[in-house]
Amino acid sequence: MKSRGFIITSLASVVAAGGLGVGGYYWSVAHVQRWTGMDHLGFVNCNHCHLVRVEKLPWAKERPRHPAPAGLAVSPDGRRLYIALDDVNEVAEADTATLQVNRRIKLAGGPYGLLAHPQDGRLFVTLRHADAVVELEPGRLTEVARIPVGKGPVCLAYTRTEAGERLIVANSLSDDASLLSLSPLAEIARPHTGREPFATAMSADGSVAFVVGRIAETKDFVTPAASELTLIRAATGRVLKRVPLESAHLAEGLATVASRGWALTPLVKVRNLIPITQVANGWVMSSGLGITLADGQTVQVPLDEANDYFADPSGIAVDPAGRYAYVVSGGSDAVSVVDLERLSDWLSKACELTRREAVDDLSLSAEYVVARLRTGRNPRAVTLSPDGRRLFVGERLADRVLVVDTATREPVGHVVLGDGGAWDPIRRGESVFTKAAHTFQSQFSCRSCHPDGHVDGLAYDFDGDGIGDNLLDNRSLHGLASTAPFKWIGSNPSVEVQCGPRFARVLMRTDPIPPDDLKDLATYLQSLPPTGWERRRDLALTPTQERGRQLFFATTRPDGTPIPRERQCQTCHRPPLFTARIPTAVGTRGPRDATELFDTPHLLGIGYSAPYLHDGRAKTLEELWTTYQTNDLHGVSSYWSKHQLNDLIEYLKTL
Amino acid sequence: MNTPKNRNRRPEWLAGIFLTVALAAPAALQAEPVVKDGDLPMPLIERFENFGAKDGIPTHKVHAVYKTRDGHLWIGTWDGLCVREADGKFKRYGPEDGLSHKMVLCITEDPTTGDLWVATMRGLNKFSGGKFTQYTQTNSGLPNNVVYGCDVLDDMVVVATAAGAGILNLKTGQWRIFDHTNSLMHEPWCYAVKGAKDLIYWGIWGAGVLEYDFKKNTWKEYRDPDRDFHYDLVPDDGLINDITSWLSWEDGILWQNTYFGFTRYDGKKFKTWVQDQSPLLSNFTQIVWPHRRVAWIGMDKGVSVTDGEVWVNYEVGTDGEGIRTIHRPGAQPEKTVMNTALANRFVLGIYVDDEEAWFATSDGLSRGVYANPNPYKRLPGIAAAP
Amino acid sequence: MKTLFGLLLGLGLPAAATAAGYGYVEKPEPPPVEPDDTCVSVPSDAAVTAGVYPYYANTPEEMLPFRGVEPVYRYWTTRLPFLGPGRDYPPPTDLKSLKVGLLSPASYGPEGERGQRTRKGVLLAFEEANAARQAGELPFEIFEREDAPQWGSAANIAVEFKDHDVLAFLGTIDGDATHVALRVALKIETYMINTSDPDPTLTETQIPWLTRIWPDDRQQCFRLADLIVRKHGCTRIAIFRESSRPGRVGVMHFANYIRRLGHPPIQHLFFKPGDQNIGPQIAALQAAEPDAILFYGQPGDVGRFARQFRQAGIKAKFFGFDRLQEDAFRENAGDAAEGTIITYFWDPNRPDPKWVEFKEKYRKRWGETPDAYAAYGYDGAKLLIEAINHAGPNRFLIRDYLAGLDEWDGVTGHMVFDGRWDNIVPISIAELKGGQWHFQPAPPITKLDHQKLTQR
Repeated sequence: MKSRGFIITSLASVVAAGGLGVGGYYWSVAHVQRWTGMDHLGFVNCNHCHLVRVEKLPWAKERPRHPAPAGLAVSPDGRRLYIALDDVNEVAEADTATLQVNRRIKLAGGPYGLLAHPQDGRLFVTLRHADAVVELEPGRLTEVARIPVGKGPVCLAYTRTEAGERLIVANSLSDDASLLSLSPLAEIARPHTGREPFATAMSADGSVAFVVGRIAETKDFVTPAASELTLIRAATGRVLKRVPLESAHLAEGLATVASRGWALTPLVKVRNLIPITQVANGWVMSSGLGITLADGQTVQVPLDEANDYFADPSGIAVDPAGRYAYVVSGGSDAVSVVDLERLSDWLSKACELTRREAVDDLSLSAEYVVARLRTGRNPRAVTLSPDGRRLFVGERLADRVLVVDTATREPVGHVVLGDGGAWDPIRRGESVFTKAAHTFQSQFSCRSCHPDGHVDGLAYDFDGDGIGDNLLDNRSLHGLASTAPFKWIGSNPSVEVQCGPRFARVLMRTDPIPPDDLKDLATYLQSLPPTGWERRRDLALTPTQERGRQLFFATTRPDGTPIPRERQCQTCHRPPLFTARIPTAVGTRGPRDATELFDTPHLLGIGYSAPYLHDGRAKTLEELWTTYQTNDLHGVSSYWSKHQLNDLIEYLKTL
Repeated sequence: MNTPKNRNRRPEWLAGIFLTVALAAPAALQAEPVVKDGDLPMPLIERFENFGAKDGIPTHKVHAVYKTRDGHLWIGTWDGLCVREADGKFKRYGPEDGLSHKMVLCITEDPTTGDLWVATMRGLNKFSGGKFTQYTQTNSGLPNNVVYGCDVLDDMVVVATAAGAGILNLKTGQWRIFDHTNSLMHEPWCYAVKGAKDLIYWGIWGAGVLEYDFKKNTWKEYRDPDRDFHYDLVPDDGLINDITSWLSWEDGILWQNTYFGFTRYDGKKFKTWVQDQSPLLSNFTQIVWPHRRVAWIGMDKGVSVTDGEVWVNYEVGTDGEGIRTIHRPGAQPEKTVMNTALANRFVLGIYVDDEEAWFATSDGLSRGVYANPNPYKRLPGIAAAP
Repeated sequence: MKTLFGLLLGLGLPAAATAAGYGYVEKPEPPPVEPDDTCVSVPSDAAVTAGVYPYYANTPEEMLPFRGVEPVYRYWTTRLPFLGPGRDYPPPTDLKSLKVGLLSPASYGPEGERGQRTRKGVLLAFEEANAARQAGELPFEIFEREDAPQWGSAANIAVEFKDHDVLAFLGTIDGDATHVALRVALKIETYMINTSDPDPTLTETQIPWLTRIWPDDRQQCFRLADLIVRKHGCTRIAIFRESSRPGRVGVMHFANYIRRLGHPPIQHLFFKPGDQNIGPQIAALQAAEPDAILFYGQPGDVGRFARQFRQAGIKAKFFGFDRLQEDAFRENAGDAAEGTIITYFWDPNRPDPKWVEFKEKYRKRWGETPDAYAAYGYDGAKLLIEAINHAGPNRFLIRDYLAGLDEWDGVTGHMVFDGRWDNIVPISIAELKGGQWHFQPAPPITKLDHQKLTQR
C-alpha cells in the first residue's frame, strides 16, 4: 500500500513537475515574446532582462589599486623626479641620485600629467578624473592653486610668450585644449583639438603650442582616417593650423626639436581599410614617427624593422641638443633611440615620393634607429633630466621608473613604486592586453585598437574575403561585463570565446593567448567601467536630459498612439545595461552584410564611442535617427521634433 | 578694380564720367575732391576699389564680407568661401574642401581661437586651422540647415536658422535650440543673430526682435506696435516692422533692418526711418554693420551711413558713376559725383573698421577707401574702440 | 458685508468669465442690413487711392484699420522693384532641360491629398507644354520634392532646388513651409509661384520673388465679414477654429473686420485637429448664444463639430472658408451642414469654355474632377511656362515677367495682382441647400487703374 502510494505520489510529482516545466516554458516564451514584441528569438534566459544589478558588476566593485607611473617630470636642477600615480591618487617625489622615493602625497582626481616649471620648479598636475590642473609648491608638494579645465586633462606643456607665461593642457575627453596663464592661473582659451588630445609640446621659440589627438577621425568609408596635430598660438589660443596625420592613430606623445623646428609624434600607422587578412603581410598596423616640419608638412617614418615590430609607441623625449629622440613602445617593452641627425640627413636626400612612402619601408628604420633599450612592462611615459644625461621611463605595469644613462644607454637602476601587482588577475590581464607578443611579429596589442580599453573610432575590414568592403565598427570594451554575446553578429557567448583561438587565427595571426592569460584578460576587460562612469553616476538629470529620458522610455506617441513594443528604445536597450543582449534588426543591413540581425550594443558611455552602428556609418548620435533611420525601425522617431532629438541625445550622453 | 559695366567698355565709361561731371557741375553739384568731413561723425569714402572674377572671386554674388583679427579678408559668395591672399587674389574653399554648401551667407570669428564660423545654405561650418567641421541638422543639434546668421559670444556660437534659433556651447558641445514652442518666438523663422554682452538678439521673420538673457534664461520681445504690415502708423513708436531681415548691436545700440525701413534702439528710445521721408535710400535694407555707434546700412539702392542724425549715402548712377550725398540736419543735401562707385548697388554684406569699409554686393566686392585715414581719432565724443 | 460680497460677486464673476474668454455678452444694436453683397471696395479717401495698386489688398474701406488716421507710411501701393543684377547674365550653355521645382506637402500629412491634386494640375500643364515643344526646344523637367511637416524641411528643399538649377518653382499649401521656402527664394533669387497657400501674411514679406495666384484668406475674410454682418445682419458672431498657425492667421483678419464693423467676436474658441470631445467649447457657445459661427479647420473636423453643435441645440448660422466645399464636411456634418455658407472661388459648374475644356482634359488624364487645388496648380504651371517661354532660361528675366504682371487669365478665371503680387480677384460664395452647394456669381472684378499703371 505504501509502495503504491509512493508510486502514485511520485508519478503525480513527476507529472506536476513536468507540467510546471512545460507550462513554465511556454509561459516564459510567451512572456519574452510579449515584452520584446519579437517572435523569433534565440536562446533567452531570465538574465537577459532581469537580475542584473550594476553594483554587482565587476567594474562597479572596488578593485586593487597600483602605483602605476603616469606622467613624469624632473625638477629644474635635475635632482628630483616627480611621478604621477593616477591609480592611487598620489604624486611621488624621488631623488634622482639615490633613486629613492622621498615622499608621496595624496592628490585626489587621478593625477596624470606633470610639469615642473623650468625656473622655479613649481609643479603643475593634471587631474584626469577631476578635470582640473593644480599647482603644487615644489618643496612640500602642497597645493597652492587649482583651476578647472576641460574634461580628462592628461598632459601639459609650458612656455613663456610675449604676453606672459602659458600652460597648454590636453583635455582628452572633451577634445580640446585649455590655454592657461600663470599669473594669475586662469584659462584664456579652450580651442578644439583633434579627437582625444593626449600630448602637448611647445615650439622652440615658445610661440606655438602643439597638441596631438590619439584617435583618428574619419570622413567616410573610403577615406583613410587621420589624427590631428593642432598648432595653437601660445599667447592667445588662436588655432594656427590643423595638421592631419594620415592613417595614424594612438599618437600619445609629442616632442619638439628646437634645433630643427620639428614636432615629433610617435604614432601607430593604421590601415583599417585593408582586410585583416593582411596582418600576415604586415600591412595592417605598424609603428612610426611623424615629423612635422616647420612648414607644416608631415613626413612619417617607420620605427619598426622588417620582421620585428615595436608596437604602441607612446611617450617621446628629445635631448637638449636635439640629437636623439627616445620613443617608448608600450606593447614591446622597449625604447627606440632615434638619431635625429641621421634622420635629418635622410630627409634632406629623400624626394617627395620617397618621403610619402617612407613609413611603409620597414628597412628604413635602420637609417636612424641606433638602439633599442629593453624596459619593464608597458613603458608609457618618458622624460629626460635637464642636462639630458638621464632618461626616465615609466614602466606602467611594473610600478617602476627605469633610469638610463644616455651616454652609455645602460640602465642605472629603478625608482620602485610598487610590486608590479602580479598577484592581481586584473593587472595580469592588463599586461596581456597591452602585450604585442600575442600578435604576428608583435605588430600590435589589444591596446593598439582599444586605447585604455576604449575605441579608436575606426571600422576594420574583418571579412575574410579580402575585398575590403565589409567594415565593422570597433566597439568599446568599457562596461562590457555581463553584456554577452559579443561580436557584431552576437555569435560569441563570452569574452574568452571572443578573444580565443578563432580570434587568434583571424586577427592576431599567431598562437592563441594561453588559457591562463586569456582568463586574466577576461577578468581585466570585465573590470573596465563605462567611459566616464564615475563622473556621471551621481549627477541628477537636467530638465533637458529628463525630457530625453522620457522620450527614451516612451510607450506612446504624444497623441496616444502606442509605440510597438519591439520599437520602443527600452525594449532592446533595457536598463541597467541598456541592452537586452538579443540581436535585433533595426534596418541597418548594408549591401554586403550577410544578416540583418546585429548585436544590441549596451549604451553605457555611448557619448564617447562614436562612430555608431555595426559598420560605423553614423558619425554622430544624431545621424542614427536622421541619416540612417529607416522607416521607424530603430525606434519610432518620425514624430520627433528637433527639440526631442536633441533632448534624447543629451540623455544618452548621461548613460 | 572696375565696375562691372566698365569691364567691357572702359572708354565709354570714362567718357561718360567726365561728361557727367562736366554737365553736372554747373547744376550746383560739388565736384571731387572737396570733402568737408571734419564735422562728420563717420569717415567719408573718397573712392571705391572693386574686385571680381579677375581677382579670383568665383561668382558675381557676394553675400558676406569679414576681416579677421589677423588681417585676413574673407568673403562668402554664391559659390564658396574665399580668402584674400597676399597677392591680392582670392582663394576659394568649396564643398570639395569640406564646406557644407557652396552658398555662404554669413561669416564671423571666434575672437579667442580665431576659428571662423561660416553659415551656409546647408549647415554651419567651423573653419579652424585650415580644416572645416560641419554642423548640420542631421549630424548635430543645429535647428535647421539654412543658417542665415551666426555669431560668437563667449563660449557660445549662436545661430539664426530657417526653423529656429540655436546656441552651441563650445565647451560642452551641447545645443540649445529655440522656436515658437519654447520661447517667446512668435514664428520660428530666424534671420539674424547678434551677441550683446549678456544678451543675444535674434531677428525673427514676422516676430520682430527677441532679446534673450542667457544667464537668467529670460526673453523679451520687441515688436512693431502696428502689428500690421501694410502701414507704419506712427514714427519712432517701436520697430518699423516685425519682419526683421537683419540686425546688429554695438555699444548699447540695436539696429534693425527690414524691407520696410530701418530702426535704431538705444535701450530707451526707438527711432525709425523710411525712404522718401528720411535720407534712407531704400526701405529694402538688407544688412547693417555698426562701428563706433555709426550704422553702415546696405540695401538694394546702395549704402547709407548714419549715426542717427547725419547721413551719408552712396549710390550708383545710371552710368556707373558713384554718387555721394551728405545729409546734415537742417541743411541741403550735399551731392558729389565720384569717379568710382560700388561694384553694384545691391549690397548684401558690410564690414567696417577704422581703416576701411568693405561691401559685398550682388555683383562683386568693393572696398571703400576713406578720405582721411584714421578718421575717428580726430573726432571728439566718439566711442572708444571696443 | 453681504452687500459688499454681492457686489464683488456681481462684478467679479463676469470679469472672470470675460478674462477666461467665455461667455461675455455684448448686445449692440443690429446694423442695418445692406442688400448689396458685392463687397467691392469703393474707397473715397484720397490717401487710400493715391498708390498705383489698391491699398490693403482691396479691403473695403470700412474694414480698414485706423481708417480715420493717416499713417506715416503705406506699403504696397506700388511694387518693390528688384534692383539686383542678373538680367544680362548669359544663358547657360549646357542645359538639357528647363527645370522647374515643385514643392508639395507631405503626401501623408493633412494637406497631402490636396497637394496631390495640385500636383496633378501641374503635371498636366507641363505634359501639355512638353507635347507642344517644337524641335530644338528644350523640354520642361519637373524636379519634385515633398515637404516634411517638421524641422523646416521646405527651406532645405528650396536649397535643393537651387542645387539643381531650377529656373523657378511652384508650391505649396502649408503656410509654414511656403514661408520658409520663400525666404530661401530671396537668397537663391529664384521665383516662386504659389498656387494654394491661403496664409494672408505670405505675400506681406516684401520679397519680390513671389506671385500668389490663390486668393488668400484675407480676401475670404472680408467677404465673410461683409456677408455675415451686412447681408445676414448677424451681431453675435463666434469663431471656432483649429488651434494651429493656419487657423490663427486664417481668421485673424476676420476678427478684425467684424470688429471694425461694430461686432467683435463674442467667442473665439479653438479645437485641435482630430478632437472628438468638444464639450467645453459647446458649453461656452451655448452660453454665448451666437447667431453666427465661423469655422476654420479641416472639413472633416468642422463637419463633425457642426453636427455636434446642432445636436446641442445651437442654432447659429454656419459660415466657413473654401475648404468646407470638400465632401468630408458634408459627410461628417450630415443634415447639420444644411444652410452653411462658405466663400469659394467660382462656380465649378460654370459654362466658361476654358474651364469646361480644362475639366475635360483633367478628367481624361486623371480620371477625376478637378477642384480648386488642381485648377490653380494648372494655372500656376501655365503661368510659369508662359514666363519661361517669354524670358528664356534666365531666372531674373523670368522674375521680371512674372512680377510685372498685373492681370492674367487662367482656367480659374481672371486674376488681378496687387502691389504684393497677390491675386485679389473677388471671392464668390456658396450655400448648401438640399445637400448641394449653390454658387453665386462672383462680384465684379476690381479694375486696376491702368492710367497709373502706365505711368509707373
